[in-house]
Amino acid sequence: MNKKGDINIVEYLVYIIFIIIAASFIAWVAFGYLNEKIDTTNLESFILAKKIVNSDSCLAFKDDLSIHKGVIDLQKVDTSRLLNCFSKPNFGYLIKIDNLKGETIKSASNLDLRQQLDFPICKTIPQYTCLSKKDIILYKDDQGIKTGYIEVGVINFVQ
Amino acid sequence: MHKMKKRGQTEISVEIIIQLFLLLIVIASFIGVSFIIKGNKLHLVRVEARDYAFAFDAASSYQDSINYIYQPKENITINFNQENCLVQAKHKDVASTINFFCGTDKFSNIQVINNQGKIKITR
Repeated sequence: MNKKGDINIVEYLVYIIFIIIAASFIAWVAFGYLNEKIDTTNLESFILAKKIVNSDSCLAFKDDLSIHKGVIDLQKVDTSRLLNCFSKPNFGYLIKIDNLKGETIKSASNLDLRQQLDFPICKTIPQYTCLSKKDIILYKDDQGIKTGYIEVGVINFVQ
Repeated sequence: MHKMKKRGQTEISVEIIIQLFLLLIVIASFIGVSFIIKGNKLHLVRVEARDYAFAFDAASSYQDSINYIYQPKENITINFNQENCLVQAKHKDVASTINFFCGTDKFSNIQVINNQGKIKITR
């Protein structure tokens, strides 16, 4: 039996081990948070989709009267247009315009060779974040303005 | 003979003091880490670079006339190269500069003017 005033060393060693574990866990969570990657691919994709559809410098249809936001001019859907209207390093995208039956009428992309190869298997590569968005839009072809879909696929190298 | 305590007296053993000290270590580690997270200037700079880049992208998507003034956060300066759409953000207390790209639009007629730390985006 311990005398009053005696300290149980073993008991306190156990306490100290638990405290070291608790303090280490707190520090680990904190440093994990501090070094966390900021992945804004979702927001960047949203901005891209809006620019593609609403901006005359991208795919929005423009006539003598005004720019028709939300109406895609099919004649503008090509790679060189996309490269000039929105491009940033390590951020590639693919645009597909489908009719209401789901048939692809036109597509274009600004993907470089590496991105073209990686795009189909993007979700299996940890260095990339990939997203796909599909929205209903209007598009203009030779016969007039019709309803269809725009599909925007994004591949973003985030390391 | 059993020694009686006088009324009002308490006996604090060494055991309790050690337990309180160990508890203090845990609380101190939690509070210390909270201060580190709260004052993370590099994180603020990363956010600021992205914030400006997205503001510029949104402004360049807008087809009508625009007159937008962007005010960087306190102690953060932003250098913007419109030609390659590179945003460079720097905090006065942090050595490193954070780079982030906005979307280059070669057809854009947006103008950016830096005036006493504020950035004016106009068309």
